[in-house]
Amino acid sequence: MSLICEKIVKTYSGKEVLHDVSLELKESRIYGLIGRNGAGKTTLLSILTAQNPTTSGTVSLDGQPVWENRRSLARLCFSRELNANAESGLAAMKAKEYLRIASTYYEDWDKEMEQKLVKLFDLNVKKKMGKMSKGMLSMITIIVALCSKAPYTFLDEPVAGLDVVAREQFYKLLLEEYAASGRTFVISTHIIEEAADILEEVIILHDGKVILEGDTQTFVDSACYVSGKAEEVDAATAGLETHHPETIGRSKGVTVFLKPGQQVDETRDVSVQPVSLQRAFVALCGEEEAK
Amino acid sequence: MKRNLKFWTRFTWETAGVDLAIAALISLFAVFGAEGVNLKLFVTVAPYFLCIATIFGMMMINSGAHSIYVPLLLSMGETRRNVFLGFRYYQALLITVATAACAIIWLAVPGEVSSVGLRSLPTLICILMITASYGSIVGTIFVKWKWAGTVMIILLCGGLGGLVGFLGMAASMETLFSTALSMVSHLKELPHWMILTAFVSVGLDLLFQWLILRRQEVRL
Repeated sequence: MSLICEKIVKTYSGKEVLHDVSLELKESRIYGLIGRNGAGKTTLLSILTAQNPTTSGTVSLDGQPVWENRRSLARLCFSRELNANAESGLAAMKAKEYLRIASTYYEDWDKEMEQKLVKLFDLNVKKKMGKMSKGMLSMITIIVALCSKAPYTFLDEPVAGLDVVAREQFYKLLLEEYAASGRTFVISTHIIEEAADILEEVIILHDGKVILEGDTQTFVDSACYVSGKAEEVDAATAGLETHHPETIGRSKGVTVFLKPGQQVDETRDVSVQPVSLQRAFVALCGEEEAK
Repeated sequence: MKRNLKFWTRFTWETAGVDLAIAALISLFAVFGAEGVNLKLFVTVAPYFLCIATIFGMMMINSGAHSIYVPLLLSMGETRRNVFLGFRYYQALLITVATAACAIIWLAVPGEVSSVGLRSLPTLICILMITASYGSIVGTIFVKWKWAGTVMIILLCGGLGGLVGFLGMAASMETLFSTALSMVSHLKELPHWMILTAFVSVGLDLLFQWLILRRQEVRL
C-alpha cells in the first residue's frame, strides 16, 4: 500500500505555491514534513488528503484516486491544526461535539482510546473551542489523529502550543500507536530537534518544491559541519556540496552534504562535526539569510 | 453514506429543536401581547408560528451549516458529493417534519383556522422550499464572501425582530388571529408562479451550491 502524488501543482490567484511535487508515502513509516513558514506544507497535506483540489497532478492510494473517492478517503485522516478564534466557526463548538462528529465519520474510531486520551490530557471537553488555549486545541488534534485509526494519518503542527510534558506524552503515544498498529504517520512540525528521533523519513519542502525525501538517519549522516580558518575550510571542502557558510573574521564554518564516496579532506587544519537534523535543515533552507 | 445520513439526521433534530424554541418565543410574544387568551384559537394558529420559525431557523442555521459543518465534514474525509446530498436530505427532512407537525395539529384541533391551514399546506411547502434555498445560497455566500452574507443575515434578523414587534403590539388575541386568518387565507390557493418559483429556487440553489462546493478548499 502506498500513497502516491505525481506532479502536483497548486496555484492561488496566479501564484504557484507548489511546483511539480511528486512523492511516494509507503506504509508503516513515520514521515516528517519540514519546511519554513509558507513553504506549502499545509497545502500539500490538504491536497494529499483531498481536502483541497490540485491545479494539476494526481494523488492516488493503491492506484485508486483519492479525490472524491470515499473508499480511499476512509483510509486517510488529516487532523488539521485547529484555529478557533472569534472569526472561526469552530469557536462556538464544544470539544465534545467536535469529537462526536469525528467519531461518526471515521469508520474505525477508537472510543476507548478517546476517553483514555481525554483523561490523560485532562481536557475539559464541555468547554467551547473558542475558549481553549492553543495547547488544548493541539490535544484535540492529537486525539482525532490517534483515535481515527486511519492507515495514513497526517498531523499538522500537532505539538504547537503544548508544554514540554504534553509534547513528551505525544511522542510516546505516537510511538506506542505506531508499534501496535504499523500505521503511517506524516507529521508537519517546526520543532525539528525534538521530533528528529521519531522521524524515520524526512521530506523537506522549500518554496513549494520537495528538495529532499529520504531516510532521516542517512540524511543526517551525510551532513557535517566543517570549521576553521577560511582558507583551510575552503580547501578541505573543495568540490563538495556546501551550504550556509558563516564567516567571523578569518574563521569560517560551513555545512557540507556528502554524496556516497565523498569525504572532507581532514588532512587540513579543520574541525569536522556531525550535525543535527535541525542544523542540516537550516543549512539547506536558510541560505537566503546566510547571504 | 450511512454515517453521513446519521450526522444529517441528528443535525435535523437539533435544528428542529431550535425552530421549536423560536416558535415558542413568537408564541410567547403573541400571548403576552394580547389582552385575552383563547386556547383553541392559539393552538390552531401555533403551526403558522412553527412554519415562520422554520423559515427563519433554516435561513439562519443554513448559514452556520455552510460555514462550520461543510468544511468540517470535508476535513473528516467525507466526499463533496455526499456532503452536498446530505445537506439536501437535511432540508427535505426538516420541511417534512415541520409540515407534518402542522398537519397533525390541524387535524387534531378542527376549526376554521385548521381548515384553512390544511388547505394551505402545499403553499407552505413551496414557501419552505423557497426559503430553504435562499438560506442555503446565503450560507454559501457567507462562506465565500463573508461581508455579503453578513448583510443578508442582518436583514433576516431585522425581519424576525419586526415580526416579534408586530405580534407584541397586537391589541387582542381575536384581532391578532383575525388578521392572521385573513393573511393565511391567501395561502389556500397555490398559484402556478409559486410552484415555479419553488422549483427554480431549488434548482438555482443546487447549481450554485455544487459549483462552489465541488472545488471548495477546507479552512477551519
